[in-house]
Amino acid sequence: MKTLNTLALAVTLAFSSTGFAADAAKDFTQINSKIDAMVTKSFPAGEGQDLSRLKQDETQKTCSVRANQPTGAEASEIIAREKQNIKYPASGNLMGDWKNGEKLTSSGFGMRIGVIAPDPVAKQKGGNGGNCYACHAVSPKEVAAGNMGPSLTGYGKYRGTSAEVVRYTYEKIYNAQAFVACSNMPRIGHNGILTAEQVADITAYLLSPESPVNQ
Amino acid sequence: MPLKPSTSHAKEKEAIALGEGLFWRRHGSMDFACASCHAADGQRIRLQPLVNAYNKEDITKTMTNWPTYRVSHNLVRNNEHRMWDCNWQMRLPDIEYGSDGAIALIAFLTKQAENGKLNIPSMKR
Repeated sequence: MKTLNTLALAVTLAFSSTGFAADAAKDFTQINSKIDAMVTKSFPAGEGQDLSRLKQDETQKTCSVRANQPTGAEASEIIAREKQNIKYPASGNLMGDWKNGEKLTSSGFGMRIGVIAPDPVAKQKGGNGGNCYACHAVSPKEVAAGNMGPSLTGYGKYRGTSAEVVRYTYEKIYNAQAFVACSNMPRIGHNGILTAEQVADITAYLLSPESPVNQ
Repeated sequence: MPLKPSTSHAKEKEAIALGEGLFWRRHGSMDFACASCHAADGQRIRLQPLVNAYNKEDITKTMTNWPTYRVSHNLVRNNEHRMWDCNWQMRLPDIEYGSDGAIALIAFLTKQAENGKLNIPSMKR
């Protein structure tokens, strides 16, 4: 039995890491100041550049030097900090307009800068998209969906629209790291990609019984 | 011709190490690093499959066929352009061609594909 347990453990360990990245936990703390100096030198200032985007906040710093595997204490710190960062629409309504949420979910437009190929100024007036399909399946009608995040098809059908579910969904979209430290998902509301009202629109798109997501 | 990144000089070793560090550096409003998309098997953005830099076969297939004819650009592009393109997609400022950062990233990726046989001319999306 003991042998069997040992074998089971070995198998679990072998499959618990992603792909071939199964080597020991990475830690770039020792070389981080050199990495920062290299970044400063490699992205020159100039027309159309926004170098403030290279300046990391505390969460980005921790996730970078730990290669997205923070220690337990670091993870708790990130989650506590990011929870405090969540803001809500002035109306207090977390279920917005699902039809607008549908548009925001499929649009990947916005925030590309630099001089080589910045987003066209005329198109910027339409605002940023949420680019959800890059990583998530959402509406059953859209087949060209990425797979880096879980499928959200039928999201509302299985969860209902209780106040707790609405609040969790809104907060998760607004700031994914308030739940999972070093999550790959951008902190869409916190980082200003979408407004609080727009996050509420996407919340409605995922949860509303009328939304195509739940048909 | 196999890819044989030299590590005989301390600065060459350092470039590979710093390149890996930069590969994991999360920044910008998207919180992205190269690793956000390129450190696990079987991932896709929409329908576009993504290379895993830690999968020897995967990264070797990619690194051995630059420069490449990019069908979507109608031009031959080099690896430096790909570094710029990825950073641009991450909504970062333009990374300078030939900068220490771009070279360090390519040094790291080439090291991951060590001994892969050069396979050009080639064509990519």
